[in-house]
Amino acid sequence: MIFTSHWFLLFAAAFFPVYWLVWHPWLRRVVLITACGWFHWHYAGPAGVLPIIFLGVVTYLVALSRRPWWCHAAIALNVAALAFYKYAVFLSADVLGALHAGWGVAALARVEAWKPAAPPLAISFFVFEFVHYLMEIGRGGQPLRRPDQFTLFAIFFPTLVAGPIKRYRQFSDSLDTGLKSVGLADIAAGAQRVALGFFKKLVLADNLTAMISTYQGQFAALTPAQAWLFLAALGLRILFDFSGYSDIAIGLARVAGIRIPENFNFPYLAVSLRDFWSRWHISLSTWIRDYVYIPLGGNRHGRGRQVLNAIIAFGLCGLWHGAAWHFVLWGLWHGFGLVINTSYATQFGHTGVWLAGLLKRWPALGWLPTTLFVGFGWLLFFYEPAQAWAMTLKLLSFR
Amino acid sequence: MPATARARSLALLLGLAAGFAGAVFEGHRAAHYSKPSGFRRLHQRISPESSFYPPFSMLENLALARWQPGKTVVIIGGNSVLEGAGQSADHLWSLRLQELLGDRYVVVNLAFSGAYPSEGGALVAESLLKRHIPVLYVANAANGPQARPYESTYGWLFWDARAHDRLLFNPARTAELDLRFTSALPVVRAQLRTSELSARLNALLGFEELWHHVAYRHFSTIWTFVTRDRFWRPRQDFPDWGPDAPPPDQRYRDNFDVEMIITRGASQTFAEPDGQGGWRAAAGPLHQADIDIEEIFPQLLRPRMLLLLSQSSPYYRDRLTPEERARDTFVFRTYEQVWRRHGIHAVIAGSDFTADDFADRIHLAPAGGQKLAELVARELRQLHSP
Amino acid sequence: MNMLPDRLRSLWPPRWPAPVALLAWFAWGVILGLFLHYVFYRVSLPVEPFIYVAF
Repeated sequence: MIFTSHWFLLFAAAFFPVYWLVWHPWLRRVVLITACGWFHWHYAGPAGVLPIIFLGVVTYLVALSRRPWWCHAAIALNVAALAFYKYAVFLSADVLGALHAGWGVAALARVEAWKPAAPPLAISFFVFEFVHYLMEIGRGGQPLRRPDQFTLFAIFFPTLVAGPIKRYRQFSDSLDTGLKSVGLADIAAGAQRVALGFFKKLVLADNLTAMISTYQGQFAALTPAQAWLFLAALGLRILFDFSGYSDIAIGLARVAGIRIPENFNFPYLAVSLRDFWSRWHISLSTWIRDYVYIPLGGNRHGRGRQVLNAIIAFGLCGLWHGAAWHFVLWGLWHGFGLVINTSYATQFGHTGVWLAGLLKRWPALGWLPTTLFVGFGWLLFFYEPAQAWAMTLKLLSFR
Repeated sequence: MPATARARSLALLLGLAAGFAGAVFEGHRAAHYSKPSGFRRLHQRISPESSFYPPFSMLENLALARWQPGKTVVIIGGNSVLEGAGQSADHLWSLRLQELLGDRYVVVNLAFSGAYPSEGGALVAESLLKRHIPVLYVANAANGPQARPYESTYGWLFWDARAHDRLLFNPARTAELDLRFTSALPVVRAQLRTSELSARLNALLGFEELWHHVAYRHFSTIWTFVTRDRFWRPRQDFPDWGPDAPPPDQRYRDNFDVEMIITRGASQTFAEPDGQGGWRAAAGPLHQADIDIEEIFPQLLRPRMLLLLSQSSPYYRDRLTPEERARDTFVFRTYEQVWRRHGIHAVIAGSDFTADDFADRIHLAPAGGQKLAELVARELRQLHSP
Repeated sequence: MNMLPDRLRSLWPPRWPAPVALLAWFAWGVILGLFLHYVFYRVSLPVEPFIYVAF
């Protein structure tokens, strides 16, 4: 909602002309850092900037040392911060509380005494970027030596709030190029991309939201056709909302001459779940792959471990989206789905082999089961499990 | 020879600038001409209930378009009681009021469902006064403290009017607002700043005027439950479907207990027993109401105001205990005097109406609307003769 | 949506003379400018927002 506010539009209208007209790349860098700082301060507030400053300074300095163990410690610090700000209530009330009600209540009281009312702005995103950065440095990558480089990586306003999750080397190179040579073609392309994003968000997604909000309370009373239309609306809404936001972010960066990798690639054209995850929230799925799944062992330790690693990776992916069990269930839904998707050809005997051959010949046949799988997954994402189950039954009963 | 990438980009950006500038220009023009046609009231499909938030200029244009020198504009504000809920468009009480007042008056019903007397119509009345157009303002209010025009659903109209410098000089209101900007809770301050920023941007760019005009005349882009079947159609295509009250034998059927609680609530917190079998006004709400009225209504507007304190239907009032009825009478008379102390002519409306005059606890059926029109016409003539 | 503007651009028949192509791009820019103005209106509407955002 940050992009869709008058303050932001005014901020952008004030910032970009200055950025374009300042001809020297270093001056542009200063203007950009100032704007990013002002943006962050405005939306996060004085208290909200402290965590990113602290974690950013620690991450930057530790990376300069290039010591793997220090990098691991800094990763742990970042993850602990995310866990505290975002998951402490969930862990106390829903996890510990599920084991023992008394422990849950006691833990929750402690947490609520310490935790601020709102989490720091964009903590889910900047922690993931810092962890990526530290992981790469720990593996031998070259750190960003200059503080201005790292600062811009950390608080780049177009991607700060809702991604895409950046990769530091790609971003830094693109930043240098953009600062030097932003031109009319960038501004024109970026403006069109921003307009596309606003169209998807304001015209498509917000109207779908109004419809969904109206009918979700009466879902049980809808006709079968209406119920299926509702499911389609649910899937389209999150696509337009999320990809629209990514379009705005990518477009804004492009207006500044900076290229950010794509985050969505027509995900509802996917013909398999694996294909879907190469098209949906690409920056997150690749992050999960590179910094959770592969470090856990990926598929290098046999079938059983591969399944476990996929489940853990996607469970965490679900949890990243929100601190509640239904997000975890959504992640596990996709985790299990991916396990089947990547193993049916070899694990289900002749049927599996035949099916794999068929889909290899006509991949489009995989579109409907994939879309249905993803669609039902959205019920888990948006609703509590019991409600999602009831809605699923209603849809499948065609009554 | 094909156009170069640079030339294409330049063409696109020049077009973008031209398109935006053109829209700004047309938005400023629309502020002078845009208004609903065949207007009788702000019915559901041209009000926030269907995500239609008419800019201040659109409301003011309704009055300006019909006013001529020598006439007095009668602006109706307040809530759904004066908006005419319970009366269809053809039986609207304000139409009857126009008939009763005659040609020397122009009646414009700008009441909104749930609005306070300080909102909407009050601001239009101020603006007309600022233009030196003779105006009378009619609104209704509940007993007790009064809400500021920037505090609720219709707040955008206050900020819009303020950004366009349409409001009368009111130092008490200005001082109170300045205080809020500096010392209210951070979240309230942020809300105020956001509202003010949006209004100032609109005063510069004219986007509310242009796109509400487009939504009214040409096409809408907002899906709402109210317009769900044809949401893309212009709002002028949607008639005023407000129904007349059901027949008397079908009224008052539901939620009796809740309605009685609300009826009692009209006076419950505003008076306390005086220990001698009577009542005295609760000091807190009384004092706050004094402050509110002083800060909200400019001096210039007050002698031109008729404030109705809307009574509940006798179906419920007659079922109050004698003690509750005495308290109810006491509170209404007390607050009638509060408004009058500030130079605003207040009148209790509905005390002598019958149950059949009401559509429900508070809204009037067509018969009650007729009576209301007669009451208002009578009081307005006392207030002002052109 | 992947690189839509570039794909759109690649659809232009290269044999269009420059003035026609430039006029078309100008017209498209006008539409975008109008839409940008509309965005100011749309973001001011207090419609119920979709409040899921991973913070």
